[in-house]
Amino acid sequence: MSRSDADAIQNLTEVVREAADLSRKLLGGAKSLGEVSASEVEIGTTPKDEVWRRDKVVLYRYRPLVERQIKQPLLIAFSVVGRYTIVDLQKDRSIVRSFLERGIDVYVIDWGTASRADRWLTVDDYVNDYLAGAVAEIQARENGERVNLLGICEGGTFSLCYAALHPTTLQNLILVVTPIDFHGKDPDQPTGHGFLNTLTQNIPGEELDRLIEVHGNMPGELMGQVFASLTPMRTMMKYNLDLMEIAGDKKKLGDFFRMEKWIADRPPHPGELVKQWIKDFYQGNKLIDNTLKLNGRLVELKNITIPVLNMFALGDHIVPPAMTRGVGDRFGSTDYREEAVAAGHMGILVSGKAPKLVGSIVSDWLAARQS
Amino acid sequence: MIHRPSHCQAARARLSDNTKKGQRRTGEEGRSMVGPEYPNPFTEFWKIGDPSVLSEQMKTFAESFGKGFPLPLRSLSADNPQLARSTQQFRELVDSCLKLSKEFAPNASSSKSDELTAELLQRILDPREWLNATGLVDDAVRRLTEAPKLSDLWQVEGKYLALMQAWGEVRSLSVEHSTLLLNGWGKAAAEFTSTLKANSDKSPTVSRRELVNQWVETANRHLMEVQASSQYLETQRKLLKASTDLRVAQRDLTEYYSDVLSLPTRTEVDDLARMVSELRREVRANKRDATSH
Repeated sequence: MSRSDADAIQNLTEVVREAADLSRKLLGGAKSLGEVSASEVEIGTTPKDEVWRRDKVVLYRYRPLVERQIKQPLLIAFSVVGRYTIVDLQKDRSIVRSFLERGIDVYVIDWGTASRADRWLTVDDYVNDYLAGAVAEIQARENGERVNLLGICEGGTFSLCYAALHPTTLQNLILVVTPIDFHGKDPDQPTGHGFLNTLTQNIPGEELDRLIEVHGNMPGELMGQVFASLTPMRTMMKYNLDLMEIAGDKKKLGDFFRMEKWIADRPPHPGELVKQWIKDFYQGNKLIDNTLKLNGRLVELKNITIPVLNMFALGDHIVPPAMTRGVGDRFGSTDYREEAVAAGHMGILVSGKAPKLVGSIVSDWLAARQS
Repeated sequence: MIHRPSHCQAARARLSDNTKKGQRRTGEEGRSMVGPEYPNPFTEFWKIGDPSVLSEQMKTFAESFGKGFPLPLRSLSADNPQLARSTQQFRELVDSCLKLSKEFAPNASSSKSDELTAELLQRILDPREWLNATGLVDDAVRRLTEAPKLSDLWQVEGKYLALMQAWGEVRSLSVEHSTLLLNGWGKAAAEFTSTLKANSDKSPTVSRRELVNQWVETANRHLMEVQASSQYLETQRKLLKASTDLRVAQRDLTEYYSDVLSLPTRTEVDDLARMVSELRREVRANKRDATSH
């Protein structure tokens, strides 16, 4: 047999092996897809109770899993752009469970689903009415105890504003993938990272006003398309080639569907809030410049004198590290710590070992700052 | 298309004739009663037209309208005694007012030789002027039963035109935007095929997964470059603006019809929501102040 014949036979063998592998995946995938039911695709299932409500905003308290270890309760404030349920996606991908297992008393704020009637809500409403109301409710339930506040992404920015305006109600502040310096850019950051900044800074103010005037709120579908466009190839591959790869594995398929369920559930963003978010934060960068005003009051980061833990994701394409790190000197606090996690924007909450890692870092940090 | 029976045509002929007579009556010196003459034919029509004309018009309107809408339009039919009574009463009232105005108008002028004053007095003492000024003959009612006024024409047509233009703009910009993306895809495909060729010389066996990964990496890089380009950002901004303009044109048209049909518009509801939001904010701020004191 000549060398070329041998090569040809090897190639053919490889091709046949690949074809067989593909067929097995397809068949297994078809079987798994047929067996997955809607009841198996549930998210945010850790038991909790509604303890307070204002308009469409609801405050939940999770039922404890172990004896309490940290004196002050923890309030989680997620972004308005997505659902809070990402913090409790599934049993093995839940920072809520991670906190509960370490004896932290956990509350979470659900911003609800904005309708057209909510288009006039502003940052001030979210910070000084809803978030303030939730903190006040927790303090009332906890005999006036101060609250540990954990803000994620836009929720983290709200938490910063809140902490600057109401410093005496908080014990500690934790920020996760939170944009602080909206013009921060690392020259070496990967292509495509921070593209959201480029997009938002590309909209003239009057066109944004007109967009909101027509739509009332920023439609959730439009936000979804914007986020999908940040990783175009990943979005294209997800529902065919990627799905084909995992379809034969029922566990991976379930994980995929739960993540997709969360991604698909994108609530509208109140119109005035969007305008402020883009004009004052993304375009004006007023927070880091200490020129942001809420209801006439200046938001000054130097008023934050409580301990601050600032966690960011190294692979974050939505809030690149340059937007969140290196800002310690802006706070009045002498206890400021940054913690980098090898994950993506949402990966820091749900991928691999990240939830447990975040849980242990936060609980250890809080335990040392209870007095 | 409303059918005009022959007696309507006869009535219109008489109306036209009387209007010309009116013009001749006041125009001995070439002056005619401009302005008020336009609405006058309406009252003239009511007054002098064959009584059956109006009811015939209403009947025809009801019949054609009723085909599309199963509404009780009996009140518009010719055999409506209430309508006939009201029409007759109105006609008699107009008659007596006209007679009265003719009697005192000449006497109201201080001097018979003051023709300008006389003409002015005749106008202001004419009950038809009064009807026009007080809007008793309601424009909206008239629009439902007659042809639109000149100023009404092309309003809604203009809105449809604006809508079509806005739609065209969106389509055009969408094509421009897609062309940019396609150019990026083309570059990615060219690089991918030349990389494949180069690699096939070195290593003939390439797995499906390797191929896919190679394509994803190449395409992603090119797409990112396209997205970061100023041309892409410009067309995307224009496309977003055009789609907003299209929505504005749609809203404009819908609010026009909402207004005609006395339905609340989106703009009005937004206004209401704004009032509620501001009021709620004020109440809560007052509560907080009261609690802190």
